[in-house]
Amino acid sequence: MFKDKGNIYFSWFLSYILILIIPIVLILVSYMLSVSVIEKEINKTHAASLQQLNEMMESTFSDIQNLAIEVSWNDKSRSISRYSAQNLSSVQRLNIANFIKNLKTLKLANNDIDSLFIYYKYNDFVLSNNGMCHVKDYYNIYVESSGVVYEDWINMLNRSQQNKFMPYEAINNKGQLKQLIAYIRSLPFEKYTESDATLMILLDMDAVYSWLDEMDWLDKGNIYIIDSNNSVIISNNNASLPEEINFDVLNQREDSFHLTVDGQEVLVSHIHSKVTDWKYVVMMPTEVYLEKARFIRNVMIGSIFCCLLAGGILSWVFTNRNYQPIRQIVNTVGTITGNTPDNKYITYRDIEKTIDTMIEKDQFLQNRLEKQNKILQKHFINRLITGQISDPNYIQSTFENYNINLKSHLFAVLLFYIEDFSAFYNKNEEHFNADESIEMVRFIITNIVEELINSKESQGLMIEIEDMLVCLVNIDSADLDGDWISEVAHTAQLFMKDKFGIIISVSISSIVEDIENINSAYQEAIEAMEYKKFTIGEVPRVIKYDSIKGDSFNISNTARKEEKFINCIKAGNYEEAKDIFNSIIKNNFYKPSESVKLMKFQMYGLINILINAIREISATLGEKFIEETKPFERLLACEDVKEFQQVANSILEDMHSYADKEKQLEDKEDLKAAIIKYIHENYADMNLNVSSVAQHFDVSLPYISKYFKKHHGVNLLDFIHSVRIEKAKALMREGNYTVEEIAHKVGYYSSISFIRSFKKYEKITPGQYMNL
Amino acid sequence: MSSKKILCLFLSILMLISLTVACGQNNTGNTSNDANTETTDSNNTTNNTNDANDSSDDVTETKTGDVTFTYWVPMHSQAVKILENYGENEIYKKLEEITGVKIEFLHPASGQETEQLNLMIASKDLPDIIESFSYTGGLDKAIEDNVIISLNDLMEHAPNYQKLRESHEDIAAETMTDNGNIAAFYCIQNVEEPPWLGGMIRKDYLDELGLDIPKTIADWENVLKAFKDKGIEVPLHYNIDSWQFTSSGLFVSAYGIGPEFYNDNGQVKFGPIEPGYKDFITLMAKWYEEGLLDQDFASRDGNNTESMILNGDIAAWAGAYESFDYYENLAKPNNPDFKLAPVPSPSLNEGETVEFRQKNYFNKGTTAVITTACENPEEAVKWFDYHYSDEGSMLFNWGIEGVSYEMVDGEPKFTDLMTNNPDGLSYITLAHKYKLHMGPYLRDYEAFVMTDTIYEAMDVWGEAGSAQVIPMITMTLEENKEYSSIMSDINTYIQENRIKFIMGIEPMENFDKFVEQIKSMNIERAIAIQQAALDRYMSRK
Repeated sequence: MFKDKGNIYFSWFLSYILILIIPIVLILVSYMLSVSVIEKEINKTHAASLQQLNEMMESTFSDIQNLAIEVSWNDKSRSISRYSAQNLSSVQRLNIANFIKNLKTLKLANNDIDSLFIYYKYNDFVLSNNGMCHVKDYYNIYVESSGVVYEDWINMLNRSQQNKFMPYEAINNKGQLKQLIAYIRSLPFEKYTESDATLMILLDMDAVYSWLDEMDWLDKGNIYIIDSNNSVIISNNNASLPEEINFDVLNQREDSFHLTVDGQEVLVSHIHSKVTDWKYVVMMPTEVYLEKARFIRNVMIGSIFCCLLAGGILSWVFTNRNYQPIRQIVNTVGTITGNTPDNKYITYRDIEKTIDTMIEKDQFLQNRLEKQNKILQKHFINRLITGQISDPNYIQSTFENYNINLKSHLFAVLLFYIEDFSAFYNKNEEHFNADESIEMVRFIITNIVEELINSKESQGLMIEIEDMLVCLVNIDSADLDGDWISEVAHTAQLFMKDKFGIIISVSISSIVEDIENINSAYQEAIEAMEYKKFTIGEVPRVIKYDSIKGDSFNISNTARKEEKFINCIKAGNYEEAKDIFNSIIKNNFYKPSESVKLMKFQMYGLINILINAIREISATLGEKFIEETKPFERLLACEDVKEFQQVANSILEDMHSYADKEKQLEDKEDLKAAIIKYIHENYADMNLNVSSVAQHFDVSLPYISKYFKKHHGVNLLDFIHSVRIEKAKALMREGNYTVEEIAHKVGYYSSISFIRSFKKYEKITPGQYMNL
Repeated sequence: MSSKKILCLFLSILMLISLTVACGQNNTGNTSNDANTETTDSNNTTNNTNDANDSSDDVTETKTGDVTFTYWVPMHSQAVKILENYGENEIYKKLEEITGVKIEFLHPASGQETEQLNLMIASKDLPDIIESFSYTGGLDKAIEDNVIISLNDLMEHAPNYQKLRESHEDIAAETMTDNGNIAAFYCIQNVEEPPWLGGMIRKDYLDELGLDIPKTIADWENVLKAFKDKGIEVPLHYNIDSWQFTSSGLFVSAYGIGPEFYNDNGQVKFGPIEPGYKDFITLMAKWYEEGLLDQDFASRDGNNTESMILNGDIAAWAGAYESFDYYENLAKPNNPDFKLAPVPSPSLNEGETVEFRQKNYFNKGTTAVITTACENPEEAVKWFDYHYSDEGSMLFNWGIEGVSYEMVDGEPKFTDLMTNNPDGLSYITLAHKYKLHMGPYLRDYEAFVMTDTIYEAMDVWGEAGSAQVIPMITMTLEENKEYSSIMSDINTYIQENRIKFIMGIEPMENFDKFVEQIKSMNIERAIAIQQAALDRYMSRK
């Protein structure tokens, strides 16, 4: 679990644990300090003991030296030295006896003295506090058992000695062979180069030994007094001097130092005595005092262990405590976002991710809310515009809810109708299909218009009602003149055409006061938009309601013309009938000066005329005429005047040809093939239609329709459409053309017509077909 | 985990830590590894059980409770050869087993006995028991000064000791102070021991020269002359300044006087001022001049004397009976003929008796006192009393049956351990480990490695009488002071001048002046003091 990078649990735990480094380091430092303090203290103790030992020895020595002086100045001694051992007189013997008494007294005077004697060089005797002896006898009794050779002993005594202390082994006054310290001095003092006697004062070191014994710390260590020849003068435990320690070595080293002796590390402290040129040395295995430190070391180890243990436990506890909530949070959030981290221990990245996810979600929700809001808003406006809501208070408060601040009580409605977006579609065929393209176009229009309106400091809200875009404009009350609105419409229209190749028509309502009148404004805009259906001539793309308001009810009288028309039909004078019809249309619909409603009436009238005409001669045209040409359906399908004109004309032509063709029922069979061939050759011609085919074959339209239907089984018009559609499908399968291109290629006037036909025959739009 | 739980956990861990620390404390107090247990102060004793105090003859101590006494005693010079501490003595160990009383022996450094004793007394840092106790002003003064206790009231706990004291008037007298205090336990011999000091001579030399053991002064002169002619360097080694002279009175006793103060039928006299002394000195001077007396008698190293005896350069001397075996053992390997013989105190004329010799009192010394620091004097007295019982006496005299002695024909006899020691140690050394040579007990002088020579010596030396020997008198503090100041001057004078006469430096004509001088130094007063003390002694009986 710890391998995960950024694992929170681990890093927390680690941080807590690492804090423990502080106490552990402190403990270690304390331990080392303690050890060094202990060592220092021990050095002090050693030094102090050595000093004390030194002082003990030196005070004894100075006493002895004084004693020696006394002896030296004793005139008995001086005279005795001149005696000859062989020839002693009684007086001399007495002197000797008395001198011996002096020596006895001197010995008693000083507790440290074991014995003292004087060796007379030129006389064969030794005088001691025990009495007189021949030299050899003295040697035999007291010195021989120490192993020293007689000659060496004599030589030592014969040498001139100045004030020297040395180790000396001999029989002591208890009769034991002991290591003593001897003071040796040539007598007389002032003539030591020509001395005639040697004084030796032997010192009993028991006092020193018992003092050494009392120092229990010496049990483990050794103390030595050594002279410059590395002879051990005193040592406790009778220890011998290790090789590594000798006089010269000690001279070179500092007062206390470490050394390895026999594989053991020891601490050596030493001082130097000037009086005797001896060194006092203490040697203690470091282990001994480290043993004292062992307690501290154990405490240290115990403390570190406890530190780690307690610290570890606490860290774990706290980490858990701190981690669990976080984990909880992440899990909880995870269940919401569906993104639970799967690691056993979450990392910081997990938390980041969770938070990010939460933020995302939140933003997503926000976006959704906004969108919903917008949609609701639009829905509301829709209902407002279409007049479904009327309560002004409700409207007012709803506006407030949607944060729409009305700038005034003046409103206008703009309608936008997309005429042709094929250019846009073709351009963006890769990105959008037909539906999406329309959406995109609407989006663009919405944005541009709203922006344009807002830039005029009014408010524009665009919604979709069926296939049109409706813009509710709340006019800034400062500007009562609504001219800028048509400016905006024009700008938008032009912009769409130029920039995107999208053709739109815009209708503008008049300016209304109060919210309740918004619906009427909407109605005006619709009417204005409908207007273009009812003109044949050039219709402006932007239509103001005001301009088509037209209140004249000037309907031209066409009754006469209508009569004439019917008569022509009856007479079979289709050409003239067509002219009459077209002139009616032209007169009534060419100029958009009347209200739409009126124009609607007129249109209905015309339709009526035509229907009458058809009824009139349907008998003569044959049954098949209505079946095959379907004039009524076609008439009903017309959406605008232009189309109506077109359809009417073709119906008339059909009538003509049917009438003609009736006569020519016995047409050559290959007429059908010729027709088919002709259609296949000329499908792309926009002008190809039933009447052009009839014209081409110089028969009447009804006739050719009847004929074709009779011989091919299929309505000629249908056939033309089907041919075109087949060709279109072939083109679509090639995939290189836009719908509009294909429409033109297969002979449709407009892509809309093409799409409509296509859908009619194929049941699906060309767009959908292309996606198959 | 709630914070309370965490706190609990933490605290419990903390407590664990402190426990381990506390346990570890044991390590710091490193106990001393010293083996030295001797130098402690007197311990307290616990309560003791009630002891049945029989008045029957043989009273043996039964085990008491856990009692410890501190016991200060100087170590005998021979003892140091074999012991570090009297506690190692087998019989003291055995004694502890028997009585249940523990003894902690404290020994002063050799040569510092007096100082330490004085120091102890002065600083009131007293052990329970002190042996070889001496006090300026005597034991009475010591009791007066609250240093030691009087044992009179405790004698009911020491029936054996009482019995012993009452067995002989001299014993009673010798163990009592002038004020009537029984103040100490002494080394008592209830049979007068024959002298252990006397003249010794090279028997083999005598035999060689066809001479008898000299009995008179004249005999001696002959023998010594013969020795001299034989070529012996020192025919006679005799130091008039030594204790051997003062104790044995050898040669001087021939003149009917003692070497110093002596008892002439109840009258105290001082030897050096008596006429016989002059004769004695004249004799010595004569022998000195003739080379019969050691020319270096005053200055000879004692060890040298010993070695000269061993290699035959000295033929006659005064010594103690243990020397017989000592010298013979040392000398025999090199000189199988080496033989010593005891010599009786010579008389001036044949058939005369001498009345001065080395005399052994019933009280052989070793004054063992119970100090005022002892918290359980009753127990101490009881413990001491055991020393004078038959059993205790047996223990001290002979040691442990089977180890140091065996019963042979109903008589105790030392084993080979003592007589023929595998380590080559001499009896006199072993005596300090397997028995007690000298100490506060009922001593049998025959509990010794008695060779025939020794018995012979005893007989020979015992031939002389001891009537002139002054008994164990004691002086009062004032008497002592006066006496000491007079005698110190006199002794110094005698020592300085006597020797001159002997060595011929001073002619004998001047001897009278010598005596006059002494007399002028208030010797009469000193004699009077001694007399008074003697009278008091006599009245003690």
